Amino acid sequence: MKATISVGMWSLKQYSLKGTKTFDEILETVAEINPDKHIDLMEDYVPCHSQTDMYELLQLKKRIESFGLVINSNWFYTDLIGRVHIQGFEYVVNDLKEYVIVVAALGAKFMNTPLDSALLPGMMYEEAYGLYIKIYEEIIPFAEEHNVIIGIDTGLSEEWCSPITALKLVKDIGSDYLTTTPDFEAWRTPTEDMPGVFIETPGSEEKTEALPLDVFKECLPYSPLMHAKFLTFDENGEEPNYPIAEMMALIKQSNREHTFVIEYEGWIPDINPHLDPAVETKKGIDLLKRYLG
Amino acid sequence: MPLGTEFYIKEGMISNDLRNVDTNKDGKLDHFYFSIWNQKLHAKEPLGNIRKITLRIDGEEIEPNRIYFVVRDQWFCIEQLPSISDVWWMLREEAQIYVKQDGGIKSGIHNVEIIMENQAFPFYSKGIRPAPTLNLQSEMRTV
Repeated sequence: MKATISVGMWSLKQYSLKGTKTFDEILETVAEINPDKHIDLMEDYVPCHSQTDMYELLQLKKRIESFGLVINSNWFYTDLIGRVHIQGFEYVVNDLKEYVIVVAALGAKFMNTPLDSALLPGMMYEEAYGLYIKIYEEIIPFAEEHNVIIGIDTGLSEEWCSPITALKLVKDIGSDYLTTTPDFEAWRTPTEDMPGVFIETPGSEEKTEALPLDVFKECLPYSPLMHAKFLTFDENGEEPNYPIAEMMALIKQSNREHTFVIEYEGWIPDINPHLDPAVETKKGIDLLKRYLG
Repeated sequence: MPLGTEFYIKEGMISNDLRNVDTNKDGKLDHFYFSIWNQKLHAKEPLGNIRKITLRIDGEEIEPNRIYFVVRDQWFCIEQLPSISDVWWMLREEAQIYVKQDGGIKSGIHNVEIIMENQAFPFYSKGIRPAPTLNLQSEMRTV
């Protein structure tokens, strides 16, 4: 099993939000801490929305590459169901096609977009699922034409949004250009300190259980990319919130190549905002390297 | 999506200054303003995600039709914000909250409280979900 480690900009975003490091300084940090030199950009750092600026995009690519870094993937969020409801199917499809173009222009391999989208009041699962299939049927030939692989990002989410739904979508579409991007978060058991509540979805039922590891195993053949969400590290450099040893043992048996995007999230106000995100992200890199051998 | 309850980094999100201005250059002060930086965890978003802004100065609530959200020199009355889908507020970008007031605000220190309801996911199976709320407060000095 061949593995590559990539650092998601989410890991180091606290620097941007507090203004303590410039974008260039963050790139320099990634180049220092990640021997694999891969980086993942989220939409906050990409000149798109509401108009994509192609010149800025190409400048961004050059700037990142000047630090010896490779752009591995981009992450964009669209509430697919809500957006279709408000602006229509064509609008959403065109939006996703624009993301594909942005990813292709940056020379990245993957475009990630979360499954997270709540059912409208009264909407049945089948209707939502059918809408997703229709959207992906439109997008996949376009992604293939531009050689961009779409990853459906799913963590410990709510209602119908989970890696199980993503896996079903990927199997039903049956294209190498539609894959799952399971987030370790889906295998986290919420605790009193870190409950299963999420910032954007107050009022939802709290999740109390992690998904079975069998689901993780089933995702692996369809998951060239995985989000290695890390929240805290103990004194031995282990992540106590997930069954990491069991997950990594399954990964080592996997027949396909995987890229792990580190999403260190301990910097948020609810966890450990006082810790240096770069130091903690490096612990995540070391953890993966240790397990992957 | 991040876990927890706070969707922004509070420190440094609003300025400590209140500034009086003569926006129409007629020689009379007509507004005052302060700055706010986008330090929401998922920062980059259309203005429409801001569903409601409540502003209190020294405990007194300002009428919404006197409050403007100004980004990149574009003025939006806060009552219009929920309908704006094509203007985005970027990561740590500075915006200003302007308040229309003839003569500006009295010199000195004022208690400023701003409450912003932010909603990226309006729907869920139970209907319209409650909006996460950002609550900022500062003692601001006129300059």
